[in-house]
Amino acid sequence: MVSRTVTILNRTGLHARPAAIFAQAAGRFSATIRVLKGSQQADARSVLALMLLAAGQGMEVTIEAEGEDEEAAVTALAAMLQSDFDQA
Amino acid sequence: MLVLKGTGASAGIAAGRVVVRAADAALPAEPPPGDRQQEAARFAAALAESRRQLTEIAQAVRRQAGEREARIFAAHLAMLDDPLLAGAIRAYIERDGLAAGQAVERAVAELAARFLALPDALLRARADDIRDLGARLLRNLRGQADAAHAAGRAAGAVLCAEDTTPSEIASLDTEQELGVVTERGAVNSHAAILARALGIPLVIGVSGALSRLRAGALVIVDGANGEVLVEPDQETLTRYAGRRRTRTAAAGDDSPAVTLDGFRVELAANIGSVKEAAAALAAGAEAVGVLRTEFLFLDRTAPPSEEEQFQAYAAVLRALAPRRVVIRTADIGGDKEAAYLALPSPQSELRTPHSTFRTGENPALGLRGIRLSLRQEEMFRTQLRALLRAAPFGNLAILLPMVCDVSEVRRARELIAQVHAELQRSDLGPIGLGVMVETPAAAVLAAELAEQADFLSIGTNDLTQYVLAADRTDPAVAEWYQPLHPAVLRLVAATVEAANRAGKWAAICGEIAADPLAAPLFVAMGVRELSMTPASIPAVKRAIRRLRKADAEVLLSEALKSKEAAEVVELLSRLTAD
Repeated sequence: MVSRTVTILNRTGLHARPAAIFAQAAGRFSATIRVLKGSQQADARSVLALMLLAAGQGMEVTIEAEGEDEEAAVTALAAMLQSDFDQA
Repeated sequence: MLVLKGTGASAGIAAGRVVVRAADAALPAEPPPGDRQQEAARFAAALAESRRQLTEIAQAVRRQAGEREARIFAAHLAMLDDPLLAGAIRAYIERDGLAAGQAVERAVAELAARFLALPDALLRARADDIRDLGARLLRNLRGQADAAHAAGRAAGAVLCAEDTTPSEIASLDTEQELGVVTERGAVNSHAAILARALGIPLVIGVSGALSRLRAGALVIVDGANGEVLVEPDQETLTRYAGRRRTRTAAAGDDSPAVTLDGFRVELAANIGSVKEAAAALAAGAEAVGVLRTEFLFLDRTAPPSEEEQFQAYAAVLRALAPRRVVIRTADIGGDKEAAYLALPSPQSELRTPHSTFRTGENPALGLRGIRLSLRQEEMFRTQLRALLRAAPFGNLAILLPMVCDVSEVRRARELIAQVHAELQRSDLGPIGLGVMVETPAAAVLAAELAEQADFLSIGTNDLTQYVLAADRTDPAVAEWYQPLHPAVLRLVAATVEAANRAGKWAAICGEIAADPLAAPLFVAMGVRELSMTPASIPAVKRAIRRLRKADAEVLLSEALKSKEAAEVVELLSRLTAD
């Protein structure tokens, strides 16, 4: 299992649209991916679960992946949270 | 005359007769529950039907309001199939033996409650989206069509309800003078966002609206002031009718954006539909920098007719006259596919030696924009004819997307001249022809292109993706997609310089034009027009008015020497901090 803790830099955090883009990106990997914030955790492919984390800009979350492409998944998704990925 | 106070969620004035939509408007009773398997099958069917409806709504909204608003329904589609919604409902049916309807109600209530408990108002508003989805599932479970929403469809009706939903707003016919009044709701709900995009006056939070507004009563909805005027007298009606006219004719604050040392930048709007013309005016746009015409070409089975295109172009030109409207010829292909082009067609004009239109592995590098237009010449001629016919209705300029060299511009000019001659119209003056600079080739050849064109419009979104080889739809490479990267900035600066040297004007029309932080760079380059999403205009205007062009020029020369995007961002932040 690979895990990485990052600070969310995306301006709007993981709100509706960013959450959808993030979940879609997570869907491209075969690994099981979870996003953890404090004691809460969300399935990275569930838009609703991601939104329920109420993870805003400047907050820390941990991305955990387990499976064949776990390293690639964590790297790509962590990078996403550190960019304005919904602004493009 | 009674005045009910609420919160204005979407500006505009509507006058009409009240139509009341009671909460949970008369859903037919649910059939007696079957066994788990039957209930699961009923739910699966309702889910499939809901998916179909949402796809349809998304397409309609994309045409009427634009891509950004259509995404609301794309998000609904994603939420619908989420493990926490569809998944939970299935579990309640299969594991706990609930009837399908009960399972939907329980899952929706639980999920909405979890969202309502969140500290962030934006996230709390998502509870409404979940309830909207739940209501849709219930209607479909009970075999009731979207007809519950037909209540507000009569001409001149004002819909009054406990609360409204994005689906309901999308189903309103905006051609009618409609307004909506609700008891509950939030200004940042998707329903409100959609109402603003569609120009439907909406007043929310009117307590007791349902008990105080009788069906058939005459009311005025004042979406700007958040008021509902019940049974207004003739004088009030006349006054509001006058205000309604001025609102449509007059615009927001379109006083020019001028720097402290007197350099003027024209602020224009990027729009993607006829409806957004109103939003452009309201935001104070001095012109339309790009009207994307894809809305006419996508989500349909045959290309739009000349007449349909003419009507759309004439409507936008008329709404914005005398402001200039730059209409970009179809930029289909790339990530925007049109199904009818992929089909082998019996009409020879849609076939070419290389016939079938294919997306390929690398759609951004494929047959798109002007390439496709010149390949599908009949379709292009139809669009040009519609544009030239619409020209007398306002101030038109034509813009060519995805140009790589001068031969494409020359060919387009020839076709325009031919169409012009065929039309035999004496009321047609010369029409400006612009070139989009969005390929590295066009940026490098900017001087040559500026000789052929009347203006250059720099599309920084595509330019960034091509220069940095970073697909802007692929989140995995999002960190490489940097519009402020020095490699992009140097090309943009050189393009603007080439245009200015040729005595032509240059515009920026990518997302970066909407970033107040980047405005000093473009001012210093000598960009004449910044074109952006209408909502960003006021902020960019403020940024420009605080600026001295001389200071910006110092900043630009440093930015152009930067080695990476981070350095540029730091330079810009330092200026703002001063």
